[in-house]
Amino acid sequence: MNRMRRNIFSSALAGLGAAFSVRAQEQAGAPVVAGRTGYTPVRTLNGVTLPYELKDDVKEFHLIAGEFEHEFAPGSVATCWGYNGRTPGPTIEAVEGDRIRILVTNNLPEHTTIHWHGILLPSGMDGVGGLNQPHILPGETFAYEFTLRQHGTHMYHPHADEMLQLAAGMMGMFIIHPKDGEPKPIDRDYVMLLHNWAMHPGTSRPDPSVMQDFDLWTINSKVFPAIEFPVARTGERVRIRLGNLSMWNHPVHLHGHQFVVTGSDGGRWPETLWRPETTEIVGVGQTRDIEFVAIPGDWAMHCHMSHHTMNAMGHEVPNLLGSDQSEADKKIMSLVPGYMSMGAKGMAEHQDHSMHMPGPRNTLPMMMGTGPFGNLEMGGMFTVVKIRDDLAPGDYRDPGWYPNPEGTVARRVAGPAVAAPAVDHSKMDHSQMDHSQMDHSNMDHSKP
Amino acid sequence: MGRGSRFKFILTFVGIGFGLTGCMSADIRPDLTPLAAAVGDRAGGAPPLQEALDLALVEPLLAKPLSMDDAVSVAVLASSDLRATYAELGIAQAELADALRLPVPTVEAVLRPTTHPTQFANLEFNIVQSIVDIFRRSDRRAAAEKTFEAETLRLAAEVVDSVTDVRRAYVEAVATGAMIDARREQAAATDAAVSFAESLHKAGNISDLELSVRRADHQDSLNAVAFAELADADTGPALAQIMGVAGRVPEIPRWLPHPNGADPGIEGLEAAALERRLDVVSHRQAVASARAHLKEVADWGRWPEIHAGASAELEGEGEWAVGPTVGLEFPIADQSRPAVARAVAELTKADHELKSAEGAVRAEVRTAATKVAIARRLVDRLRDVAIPLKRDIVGLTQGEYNFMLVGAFELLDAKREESEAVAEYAEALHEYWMARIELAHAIGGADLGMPMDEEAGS
Ligand SMILES: [Cu+2]
Repeated sequence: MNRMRRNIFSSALAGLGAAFSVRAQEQAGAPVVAGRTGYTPVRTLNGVTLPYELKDDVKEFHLIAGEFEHEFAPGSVATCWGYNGRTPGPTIEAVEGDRIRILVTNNLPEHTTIHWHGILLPSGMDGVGGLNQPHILPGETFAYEFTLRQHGTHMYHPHADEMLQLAAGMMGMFIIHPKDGEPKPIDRDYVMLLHNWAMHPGTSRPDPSVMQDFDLWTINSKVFPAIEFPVARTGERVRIRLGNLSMWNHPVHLHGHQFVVTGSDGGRWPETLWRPETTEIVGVGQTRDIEFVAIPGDWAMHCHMSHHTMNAMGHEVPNLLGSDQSEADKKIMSLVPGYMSMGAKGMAEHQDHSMHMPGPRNTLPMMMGTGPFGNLEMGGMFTVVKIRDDLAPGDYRDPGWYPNPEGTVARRVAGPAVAAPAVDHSKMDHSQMDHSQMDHSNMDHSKP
Repeated sequence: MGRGSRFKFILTFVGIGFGLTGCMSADIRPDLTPLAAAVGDRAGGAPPLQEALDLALVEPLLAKPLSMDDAVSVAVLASSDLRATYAELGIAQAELADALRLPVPTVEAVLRPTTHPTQFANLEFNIVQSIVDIFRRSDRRAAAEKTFEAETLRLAAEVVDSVTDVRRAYVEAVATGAMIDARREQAAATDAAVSFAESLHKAGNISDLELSVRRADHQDSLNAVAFAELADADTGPALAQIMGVAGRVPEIPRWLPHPNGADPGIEGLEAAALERRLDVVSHRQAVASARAHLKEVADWGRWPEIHAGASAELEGEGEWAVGPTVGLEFPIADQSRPAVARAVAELTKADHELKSAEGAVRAEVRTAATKVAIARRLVDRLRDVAIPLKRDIVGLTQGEYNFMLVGAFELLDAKREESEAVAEYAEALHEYWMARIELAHAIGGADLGMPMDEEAGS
């Protein structure tokens, strides 16, 4: 398929995509986006787009700040703060030139404000409590009103008790489409807001005082495998808008593609500034738009800080790699029945252990997720971009695992004929362990 | 009356005197009935006191794990100290018998040279009995019986004290043994931590410092085990010795039991103690005794000594002259005054000693009851709250370990903390049962009701 034809094809599909999106909004109770279908509405994975009412040519949105229970993945629920009962808050979506009014009601126990991150507006609308406006006290509703004079991928978050309120989950994306449409029409436009959470194991409320040592790393406040998979049809032009309101930079890596970085808070970049990448660092407080033409397959997309694709783990745990635990195992098991040493051969076994060995309450295992070939040993900021030839335009449903064409999967060419089962429960039973077979004779305990 | 028959009468009289002496020495073994009665239920279900050691009764008690009551029973049967106490009762019984003897008349024979032509010597027999003694006899009997009763009480108190000593020795022996167990469990945790650390060190994963810290930690635990063993070393032999089976190694439980039911409340304990405490009863008897003695001295002290008797004299003619005699002491001054003054002083002394003893008992009861209450709250809290919490912490730490949030060192440290709480529980049970023993002793000896069916530490 040459470039021209693909563009025509994509443009034709764009209308259908919009139709699907409108239906999705109707289901969420949002008003129909009337009139302007010159853009493909964004899809906030695991989230929603904020509906508006058109009042005398002003788009009026309503955000309600409050507290609620949020699930990072089944097995971990926390009391969080956010907007309209969710974190991230609903994505605000508008078009360059729109006059917008955003009502903000504060149902929190303390005051708040909203700062419209990256947006050009009158100083008094910028949302820094105490600087640009009085704080919005509990129970009060404030109106922010301004005309959008730019386009791009932006964010919103409190600028009052910011450290705590951000840590508690108050954030959202603010998407402004160019009034003249896209030079290269987008078929699927995803929104991913990156965040980190000090959700200490066994707790159920984020700890706002943590600066570096976070427990959960999220895309739209979800961890793998609870993150909705971005999907696309082969050849579609896909944009993923990444925002980062966490405390760490995230080098986001997409497998199987060379994407182009096409925009940021500074708006959609001129094509001369686009650059091909496979990993793009999304710095703290930054946004990045990446675009690519979809290639069929199941493609991992994740932060490349490897600890950010894990859930909570103890960073003070001793390094067991390469150690012979047989002697200690016997002694510890006699004191703590059910003890099982792990990590001597590596940490991968942890995912299997965590399936049947209970951990702390309300805590996700360090590694989760299984695929067609076994454990993924991931968590946090990891997801899979699923691209299929036969996916209908506007269909966002999970198509399942990729059916690899014959001869295109890495194959075993040497080693044991039969693969070890993904979960080998026989290993868990220590009564089956034959310690007499282990040779301790060369262990010298007399010297350190 | 003819001469021969009169002589015969005199010999017969003396013969009666020897005969009575023979009666008194007929049974030379003490009768433990009054001592057993005085001890009553104060020894807490111990078997009857018996003078002779009967190993057939002792052996079955030693053949099974020894309960505290068993230990007391063995001591009652086998303790040399207790049997010495029983022997002392024999002395008291002899003294009582001595005091209760019938008044013995004085018999005298007088042989005087004579100038009588037909007579070589003047021979005279007199038999004299104090009249006053006869009248005073019932009072003296009462006083002697009181003295015996007081002595019996003193010895019974010794028996109760011995029972308390056996109980102390028993609790001491079990408690020190339990502490060794608790310390060994801690050492097992540090030993496992050393094995774990050694494997990590061998793999190149921890430093010399980290390994040495774990090894030193284990050394501390081993020290604690050794000190516990030292503290335990003499308690077993001491228990065997106090039970009268020195050299034997009685099998005792590994843990003291957790108390059953409610502890005795402080209300009424002091009154009960004053009622039951044998030393107080003994002091009370001493007061009564002193009061009786004073009465006797006061009633009879002014009476002049009057003797009555008979006299037989062989006169010059070879005829016996027989006739009654009467003697009367002439009090130059009132002889009774010093004796009465002494009796009054003795009564005053006894009275103050009783009050002092009563005060001491009250203080002892209060102290012991307070300690029992505190120790009971402590053992209950340790069993119901502190140890379950530490066990929960081990479980929760294991959960964190399972999720690789903490390592095995933390898990073993949690286990060690749990063992530390168990060691504290052992110590608290020790304090509790000691306090219960002191309280039982303070209220005059009682059944402790130590449950033997459950072992607290298990
Ligand atoms: Cu990252």
